Amino acid sequence: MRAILLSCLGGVLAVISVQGDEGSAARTPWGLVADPVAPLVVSTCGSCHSPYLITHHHRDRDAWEKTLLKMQKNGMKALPDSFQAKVLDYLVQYQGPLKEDRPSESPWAQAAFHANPLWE
Amino acid sequence: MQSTYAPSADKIIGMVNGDWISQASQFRSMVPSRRRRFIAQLGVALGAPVVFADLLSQSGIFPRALAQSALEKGWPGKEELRLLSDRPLNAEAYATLLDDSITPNHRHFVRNNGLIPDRAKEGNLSDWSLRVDGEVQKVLDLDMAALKGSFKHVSSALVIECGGNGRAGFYPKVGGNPWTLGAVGCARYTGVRLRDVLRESGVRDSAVYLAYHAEDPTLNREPGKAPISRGVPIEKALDPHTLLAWEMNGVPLPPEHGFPLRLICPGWPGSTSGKWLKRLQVRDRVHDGPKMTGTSYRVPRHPVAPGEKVPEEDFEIIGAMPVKSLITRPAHLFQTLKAEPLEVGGHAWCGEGKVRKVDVTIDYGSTWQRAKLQAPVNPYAWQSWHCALQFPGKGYYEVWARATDEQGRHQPMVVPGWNPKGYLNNAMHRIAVRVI
Repeated sequence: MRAILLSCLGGVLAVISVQGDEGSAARTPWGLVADPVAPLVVSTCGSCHSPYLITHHHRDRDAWEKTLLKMQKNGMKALPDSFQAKVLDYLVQYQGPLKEDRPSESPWAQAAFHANPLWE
Repeated sequence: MQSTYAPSADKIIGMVNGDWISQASQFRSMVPSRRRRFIAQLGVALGAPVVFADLLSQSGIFPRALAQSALEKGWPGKEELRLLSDRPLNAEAYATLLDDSITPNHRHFVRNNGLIPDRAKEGNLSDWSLRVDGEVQKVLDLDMAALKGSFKHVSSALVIECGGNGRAGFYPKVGGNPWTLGAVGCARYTGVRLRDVLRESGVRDSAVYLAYHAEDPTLNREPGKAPISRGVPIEKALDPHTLLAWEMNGVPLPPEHGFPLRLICPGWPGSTSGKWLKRLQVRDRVHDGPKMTGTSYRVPRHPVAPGEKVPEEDFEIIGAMPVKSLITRPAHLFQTLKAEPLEVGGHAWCGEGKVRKVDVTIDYGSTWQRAKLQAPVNPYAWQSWHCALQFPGKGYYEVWARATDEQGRHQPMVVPGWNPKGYLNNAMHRIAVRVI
């Protein structure tokens, strides 16, 4: 049984890492950046809801912390502090607030486009 | 196999960051003996720390993480739609898919908050009944035969639109499903008037709100917890156009659309049109179920600046949706010959009352042409419109459609009133056309 689990995990990591061969911002199937912490994010968050719900959102650190608290209220198992820190850092790094000069980096990010800019 | 190796949590993270992943990327090119050692290393880390193993087994990482992206597979029965999420299921139509005057089931958007109930997936009516209770003279418990047998049947084409349709257009970006323009549809529903059922029950003078309770489980299947339970003021519930529907386009409600029974509160945000109903509760106060309180489906009482922080007490519940329209033909980036007039068409709708007119522009709003607008087939259906456009010469043009309601209010040109949850973006739809 454990052998099956082990090879599954290896498969997961291999799948995710193969994506990494394709370009600079390599992404997992749900659009999450294929960073070494990605499997932890997918397993923590993806146990309840689609990982798409992460890539839909761009938030600052404060807002992501509040989100994790809300997720705990919704039934997410509390992580050890170091795991929690890794997940939070990942979210802030790759799903941080969009900036004017930062082009669309994920399938869900909208370019910072103002149809009608307000000038002084 | 008992292991004496017990790495600390930090060591595990080190392995996540370092050796595991860098080796995994070369896994496929490893010689078998190296692969066996790699698996052994994984085994050591997996076997010893209870916390990490707990995470993996509890979270069910293996089946889910290995699942092919739902985006690539598509949701069965909704393959043409743009999938925003598969858990919960949220999918919207592209504009061109909504060209039909009645939206077919496979092209109608889906917005779920929790999971689809087993009963809906199985199409199973056994032990189902609708309870009507609260501020009523008589509690009702109606099974489907009683519901269908006791009240006059009605069949209407009704628009359901998500309150957050267009959310992706807001800047700064807000949280929530990033719908673009396709979280709307107009299907034909068959059922009974909610008013008739409530009259049978006898609504007391103390009644203020109607609340729905449904069978959908939360994402983590927490017993006794509902993902959503909203409602409408009793006046809206008693409106003759508010339906309890069991059929969508001539077939029983599909599982993702609320089998066996749903509410349709046309003209109000889609979340008021509860699905998978089991109970209607007439309340003596504004309902306070999940997604009814806080800032859910609420907008600031007074307009705010983009990005402004708004205290919770300064929000109000959304009622009727604003006037809106869609260009459903041609597709964005269509190419046409200068000589031919280009027929442009779509639909227009309004949360309260009819759409009075639709105008179309090809010069960024400098001049407008009146489109031919049909009357709705019944109240709260959308109204189809079309217009033949003549272009002055070849080039790149934007075509915009602007609907105006009976009060003379039309759609804004820019994305209107930023609000923290990104509701009510009824800005004009713009497509680009190239004339060659």
